[in-house]
Amino acid sequence: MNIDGLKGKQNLGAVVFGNHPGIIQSTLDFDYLSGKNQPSIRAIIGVQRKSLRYFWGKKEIVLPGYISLKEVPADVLEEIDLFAVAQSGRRAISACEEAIGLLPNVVGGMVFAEGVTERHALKLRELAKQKNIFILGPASVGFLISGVCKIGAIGGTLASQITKSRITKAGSTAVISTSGGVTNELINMIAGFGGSVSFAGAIGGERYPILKPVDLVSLALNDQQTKAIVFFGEVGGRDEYEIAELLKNSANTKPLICYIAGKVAESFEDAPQFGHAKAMAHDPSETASAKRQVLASVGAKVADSFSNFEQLIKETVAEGGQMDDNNTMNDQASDLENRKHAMFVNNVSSDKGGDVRILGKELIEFVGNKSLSQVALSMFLGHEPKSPEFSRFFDLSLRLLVDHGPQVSGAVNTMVTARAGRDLTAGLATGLLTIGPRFGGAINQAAQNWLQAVASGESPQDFVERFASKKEYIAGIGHKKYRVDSPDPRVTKLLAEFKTGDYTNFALEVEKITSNKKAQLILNVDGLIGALTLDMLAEEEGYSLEQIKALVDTEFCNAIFVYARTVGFIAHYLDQKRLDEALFRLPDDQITDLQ
Amino acid sequence: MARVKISEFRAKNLLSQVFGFEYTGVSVDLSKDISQLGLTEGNYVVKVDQAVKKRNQFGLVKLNRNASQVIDDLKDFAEQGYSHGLVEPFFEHDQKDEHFVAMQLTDAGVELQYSSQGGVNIEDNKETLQSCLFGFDSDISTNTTDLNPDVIRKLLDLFETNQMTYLEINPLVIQGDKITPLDAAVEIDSSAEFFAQGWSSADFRAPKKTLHPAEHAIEELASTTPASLVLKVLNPDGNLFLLLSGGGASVVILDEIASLADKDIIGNYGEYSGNPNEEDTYLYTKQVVRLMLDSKAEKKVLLIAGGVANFTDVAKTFKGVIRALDENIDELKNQGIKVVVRRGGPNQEQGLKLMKDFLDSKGVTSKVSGTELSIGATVKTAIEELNS
Repeated sequence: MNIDGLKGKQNLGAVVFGNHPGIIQSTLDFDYLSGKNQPSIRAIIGVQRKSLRYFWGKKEIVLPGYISLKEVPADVLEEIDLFAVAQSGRRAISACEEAIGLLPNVVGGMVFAEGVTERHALKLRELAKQKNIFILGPASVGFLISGVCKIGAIGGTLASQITKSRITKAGSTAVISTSGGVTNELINMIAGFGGSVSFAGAIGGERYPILKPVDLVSLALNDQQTKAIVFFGEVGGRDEYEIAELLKNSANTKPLICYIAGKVAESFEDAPQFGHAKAMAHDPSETASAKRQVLASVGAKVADSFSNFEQLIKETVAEGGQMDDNNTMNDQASDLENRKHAMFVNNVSSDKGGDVRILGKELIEFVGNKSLSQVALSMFLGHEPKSPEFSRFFDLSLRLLVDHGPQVSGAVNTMVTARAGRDLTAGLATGLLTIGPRFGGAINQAAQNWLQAVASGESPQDFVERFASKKEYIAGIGHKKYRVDSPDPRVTKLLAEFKTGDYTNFALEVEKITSNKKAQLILNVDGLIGALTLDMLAEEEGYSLEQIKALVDTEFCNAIFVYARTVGFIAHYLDQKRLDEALFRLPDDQITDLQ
Repeated sequence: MARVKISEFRAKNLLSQVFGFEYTGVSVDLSKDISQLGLTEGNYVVKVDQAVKKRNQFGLVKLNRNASQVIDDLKDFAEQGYSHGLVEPFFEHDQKDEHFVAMQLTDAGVELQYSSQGGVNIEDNKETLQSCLFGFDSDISTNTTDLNPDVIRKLLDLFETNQMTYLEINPLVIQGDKITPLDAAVEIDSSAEFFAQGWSSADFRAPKKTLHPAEHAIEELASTTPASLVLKVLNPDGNLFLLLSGGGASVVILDEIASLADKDIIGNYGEYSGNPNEEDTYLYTKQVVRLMLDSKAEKKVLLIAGGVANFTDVAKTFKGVIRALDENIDELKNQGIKVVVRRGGPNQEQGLKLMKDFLDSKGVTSKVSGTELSIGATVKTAIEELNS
């Protein structure tokens, strides 16, 4: 185990499995208070939500959420050095395996959960050894290197705890403990004496921890920054024998101050099982007394009570020199504790005292020389598009979809409402509310279909068969009026203007099969715009598959139709008003009474 | 707890599937009516089926019993406070066919111990024990014992698929191809309940005859929360009762008490950790307070203490503690119980203030401190309060 790489890196990256606000926010606060310029946590894994709200300093931010690490973009995976598992014990092994398998540059991690089986812990120990990484846990509160990184709740979950424990400043005492609570007690004790820890690790009180105490003692002996080691152990297990063996054979010598808890067990005939699973002596060599003795025999400073432990630590910290005053830091922390989540977060625009900004740019500057469709596309995407080609496609699509005759159901509804004497917004709303799976609203569903089929490598034949066998329509295929022999001019135009990519080519292959069965089953304008949008995103905008999926999930493709046809509906409303048409009533012969 | 003993009844059922014998033992819940077991006339073995060591020595295994003796034996066990019994047909065999087999999960693999001279006198035959460690790859070509490899393979497989941590069969009667375990003890990894198919938590057996009602209540409570809740009654008439947080800090505090005073003053051991909610903390505290009020000791101190929590919310947990204290405030005051508090962690200022304001407003003698008072000094204070 080596942490020099972590110390040498400016922007460490981490992922957390499970949305544990205490762990995540305290890590962000640690980063912020340590003076880093960006949060170490890059993604939260194992969550349904795509973004989760946190704070960076006092500012609200969102962290991306993913169901699995497999969905995280490759460039982000490469940035990850550390992982924390805050999910249940049952899921710990799969989370660790995923992290080890998919994070190419991972150095270490921690497992917070209790209830990980002994076999799983042993399996992870083996896996970690093979991959040369460290994993603390199970039931560990985590690991921290002062001022460098913090994974887990270690050092506290509130900003004031972080400053009070002085873990944002590099110190010279390593803390190693089998108990999470005592780890923090010791970190705070050292801070109280004016020092700070070089690093601290909570092993967890399970019988078979993944990372053993001896591994951390070895790290401390080799770590340049560490001048003294504080170790808290408990009755049960043979860790102290391994540590003694290490000390005996180590070329490096540093003071090891230790306390082995649970001597009290020896005064009971039938000692109670203490809180930690391992805290039970199975033979006399595992008692606290025996283990204190073996550590003393190799020169460790062994405390005979916790008060004595405290005294020995105090002496060591005093030798190591006092640290600067922490007052400014505490003010900063209390600032951080008074923050509240706003009711809304948004990326689109802001208005701060009349300074209106769109996508972060001042309004006048933003609209600058953009056309209306360019403004709309940027705002729909949440950022300005990279490619002029995508803008051109978006613009032409809007123009082609602007209206398609008064007979279509949305336009009819708008006209009927206008003639009923309602106002513009009512007329427009009636038209808009008509948009759905059968009218104008199939673009997104079509895009979903193409995306899923191409991503999974399905053949066009299988694709058609999948729908046919369920007797389902394929969104984006078929038109009431247009046929193979009389194609939709909008489709012809779009195909002539733009290069087709994987998605559109797939849609065209599907059309070949369906139109063979029935001449009206052509690729319609919805299906084509859906497919071309995917091609644009993939090829012109450089979106990853996951990014495209996320955008399509927001119903981005339907926004194209809704936005365009709004123009048509308004036009029909105004037209009916200009003509001053009277209240519409369906002629009697247009409704058949079935009774 | 991670390692838990399951009933011999369940263990033998599992073994019967592996070795292909029909298991006809009857598990008896001693808390129910046991006069109607419907046993036919014959020879039986009756045992206490709990995690009790040295059952033979304590007369908790009875051989060669007829149907009516079986009922008497079970009634006798029930009277002694045991909760589960096991009745099996008596199995005639030659003592030379008795073998000893044990398996234990270690961090290097599964360690097998075997002796061809099993039975009650295995302690005297220690020199005949052979042992062999099998790695997690379940490769048994490394076997150095005289136990049949086919038996080893079956046992290893059973051991792994059921997430066992310890298995002891003594005696294991081997008569040619016929394998009969006469006495079996199995410990499993209770964390594996989700993954294991052969057993469930209903098969867990406590070592004690009966748990103290308070211990039982906390076990029940612990099974319903992700937080950790532990309670053991040490001396029902103790002076010092403990409401501690943290698996490590709680042991430290016990050590400190024992180093400064007679351990018999300690009424209970216990700890809550893992950020229990207010309700859980309230229910937990209620049990400790009840224990304390029931103690016949004259002088009593309640020590509410822990280290500096990483993520357990001090204010939230203290609200639960205060509720439980408040419910019993008159009795606590009548008995002159003093309270010593020391705690750190998230929202400690708020939590400590709540506690101090509550105790002061009720006129309870107390010392409330944050982390400025060390754990050692806290324990010292509690003991001084007891002696004052």
